[in-house]
Amino acid sequence: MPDLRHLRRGFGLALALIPAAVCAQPGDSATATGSAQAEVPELGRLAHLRDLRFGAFMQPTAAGTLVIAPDGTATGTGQIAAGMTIPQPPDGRGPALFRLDGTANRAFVAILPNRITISNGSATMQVRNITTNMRNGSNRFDASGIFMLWVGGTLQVAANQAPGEYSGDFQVTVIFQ
Amino acid sequence: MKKIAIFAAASAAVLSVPALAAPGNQSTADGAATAEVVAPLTLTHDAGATLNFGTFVPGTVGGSVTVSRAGNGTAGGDVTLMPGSVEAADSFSVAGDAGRRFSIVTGAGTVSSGSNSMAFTTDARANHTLDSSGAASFNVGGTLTVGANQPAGVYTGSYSVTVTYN
Repeated sequence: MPDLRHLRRGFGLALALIPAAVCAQPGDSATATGSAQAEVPELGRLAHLRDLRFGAFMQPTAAGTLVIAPDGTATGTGQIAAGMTIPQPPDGRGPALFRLDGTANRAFVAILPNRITISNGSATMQVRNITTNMRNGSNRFDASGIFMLWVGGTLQVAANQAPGEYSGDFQVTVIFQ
Repeated sequence: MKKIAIFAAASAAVLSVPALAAPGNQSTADGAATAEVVAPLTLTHDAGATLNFGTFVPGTVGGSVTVSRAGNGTAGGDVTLMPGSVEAADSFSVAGDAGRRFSIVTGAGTVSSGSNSMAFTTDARANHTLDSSGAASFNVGGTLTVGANQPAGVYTGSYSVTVTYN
């Protein structure tokens, strides 16, 4: 038989161990620190000078497109090609123009939407394939810290698209790199 | 290990007490003594993990960026996530007693860049269970509140996470 001293220690130990499972004790809980991050890029200044103008064209009976390139070239497909030669509104037809004010020779990125929806209040058309005069990859401001950004796109015209004046907004964001 | 060894000896002593304490009584009974030694909980912030709210344009009104526990980011209000922005949930590893359940409490915090800051709240499951090998892991998402015209910068910060046995 173990001596009493051992027995007493045994009881003491049992009492000490069982509460460890139910009460807050060292080891019952652990704390660590997590990390968080976010980035707000430095924004360039940007002035809107001209809208992206698809001009006027006759209502087609079949779907077609009207492409405005950043260099101002306008190309119609299907019935749009013939129907776009009609007299144009005062501001004509052409790409949007933005003036980006940055820092001489600094690299930047301009962010444009993938598509723009324009509406006459009830019917809509979409502008897709938004194109610009930026090069793929990195672009830089010139020595004067200015970049003139031209924006074109492809207007999707449905068959018997409802007549009317269509308009819609899109957002361009410029960030420094 | 030393304490456990001592206790085992004590258990044997307890079992033998009834037999010895009843002289003249021929019946015997077995008693039992039990104890449970619970492995301590350890919590480790996974290397390289961070609650990343990504890169976004704050807008003139401000808003929020929410990152789910799965790491997917969505912008709210006037905030726009940049193309190519990478959002991510944070992750932690827990070690402890196999099969035991524990609670998770994650705190709020702020990320700052110089004198500018943004507050965020965090989101994690409330409870989890250690697997048969005594391991568990969990992710932490959160929501960042972005101010109107929030100044540009790379913002960093921290928050606390506590796990406790249930």
